[in-house]
Amino acid sequence: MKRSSFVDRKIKFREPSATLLESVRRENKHGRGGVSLVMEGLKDEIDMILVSEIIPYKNQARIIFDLESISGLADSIRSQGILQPLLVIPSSIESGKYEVVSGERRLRAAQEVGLDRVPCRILYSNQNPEEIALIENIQREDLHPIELSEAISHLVEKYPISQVEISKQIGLSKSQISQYMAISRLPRDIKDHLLLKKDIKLNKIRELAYLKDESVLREKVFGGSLKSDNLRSVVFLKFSSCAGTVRIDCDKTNLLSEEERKAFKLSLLEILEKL
Amino acid sequence: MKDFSSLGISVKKISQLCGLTTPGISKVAKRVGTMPIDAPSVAKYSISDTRKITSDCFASKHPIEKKIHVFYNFKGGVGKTTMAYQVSSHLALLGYKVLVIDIDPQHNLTSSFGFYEGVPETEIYRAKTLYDSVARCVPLDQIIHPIYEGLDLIPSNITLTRLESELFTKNRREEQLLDIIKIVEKDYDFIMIDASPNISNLNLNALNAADVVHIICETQKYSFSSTGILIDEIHDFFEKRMKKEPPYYHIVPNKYTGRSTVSGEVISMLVSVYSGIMRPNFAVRQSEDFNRSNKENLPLIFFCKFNSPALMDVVEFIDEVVYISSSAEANQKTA
Repeated sequence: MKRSSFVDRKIKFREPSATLLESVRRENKHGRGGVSLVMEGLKDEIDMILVSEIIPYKNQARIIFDLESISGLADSIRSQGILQPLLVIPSSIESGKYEVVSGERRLRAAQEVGLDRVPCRILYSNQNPEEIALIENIQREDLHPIELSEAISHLVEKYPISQVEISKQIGLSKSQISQYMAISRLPRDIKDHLLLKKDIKLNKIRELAYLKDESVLREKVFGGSLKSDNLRSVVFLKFSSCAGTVRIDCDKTNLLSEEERKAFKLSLLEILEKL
Repeated sequence: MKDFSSLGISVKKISQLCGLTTPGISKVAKRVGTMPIDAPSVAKYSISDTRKITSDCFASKHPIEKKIHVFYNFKGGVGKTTMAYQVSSHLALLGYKVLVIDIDPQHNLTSSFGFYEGVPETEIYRAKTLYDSVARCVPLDQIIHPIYEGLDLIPSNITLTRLESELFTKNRREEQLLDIIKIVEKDYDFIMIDASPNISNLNLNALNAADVVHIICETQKYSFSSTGILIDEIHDFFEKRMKKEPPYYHIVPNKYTGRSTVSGEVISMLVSVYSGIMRPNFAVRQSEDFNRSNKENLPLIFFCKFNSPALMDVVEFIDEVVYISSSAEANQKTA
């Protein structure tokens, strides 16, 4: 039987406040911070991780550290050590490192004391390593909006991951994620056509994605509203006369297509005739 | 006594309970020869037929080694009885044979099963309890009552308090309950005991008999502190007094809510200390369905919606119970 969570309860592991940790320690008769002596036996579940390998949890709200309370915590760590192990997860941004979910204050106090290692419990998430890799790729590359939308919809389809979860991982807002989902629902041929346009703006694509009427959509895409190519007018041959000297500028003739070249030659011959 | 004979369970709910697909369940239903009750919209199976299905596809596939489970915490109001109620009711529906022993004189668990429905308050004390078997040598079959198929109950009432002083007169005072359980153990897959919120001879009897102790605790500060104290006390009891190995400890965070910052803080602390004996990423969430279940004396599955978080959490709690109680080789095979 699979012994992993059936459903994401979205358990929010929060950093215990200093007052909570302190009052819990005082109440326990052994003065061991609420940690049962029995749990000493389970010490092999705790890993002593190098302080240098622990980084802040990227999704945690910025905690403003009160320097005085860190010093107070550092003093108690000096005399009693760290009683409550930190809670960490293997980092998805830097492999080999750990992100601290709960224990930022203890980490800083440990650094102040000069400890090398701190006791940690490693919380393994249910996330698939492929999923993590996919998300990392999304974050690194300079992707075309169509490619990004495909990657996001692939994540949503293949894994039991919610759009809210993706927005947290990639760093885009929930509304941006749903926009990309809408974009991924465009017809295949339109997406392929748009992929060829390197400079197309996200705004434009988003507008198209939200058009309800498909015929209007096709008109806009293929009919010429994205019309930058069709009415392009290029000067490819320039004659100028300045103080009696005739200058000829013919560099851009290589921009002409085959048909345009033929038509040009014919036109030139006509002009020569006239001259 | 409550009548469960007219109640039925839909295929969807059965599949949720077993962790299998609905077509899978339907196939098993045909194979074991069950017929659904004619219900207005949804086909439902009687408790008896449900158990035919589930014992085929679940209970027989997960045989139980550690049978005796105690729900214990000397802190009151954490949800021990509610959890004992839900877990034992649904284990029986999963095809297991369950005996529930209520050793709390407040008899909340007994009432949950509808045992005293229709009985006037003044007559409740007449029911025979463990006290009668231990002190008055009443044969066990007179105090074991069937609730529905697969679920039997040894009820409790206020007379149970007399058992405390009675135990002082006996030799081997912490072993009396285990002696009784040994007589009927082979007839059951699970023996679930609901303790009272204190440390007493009767509760020590329960601990001594236990294979697994479920420590239900709230995600609140005082609950966290007392959990540490509790485990130390239990450990002392086994090490110094009984001089034997303690049972398996299982810590269950209850009444978790994402809206409370304290809930989040306490669960961090629990996991950072006890993760070796807690199911990963698990907590029973606060839910009105539990209150309703207690009020109506009806296990969740009979009334809750398909996506009820309460039922999901109970099913997952049960998954952990079965995992803990199975042999190591069995877990290796299905991993």
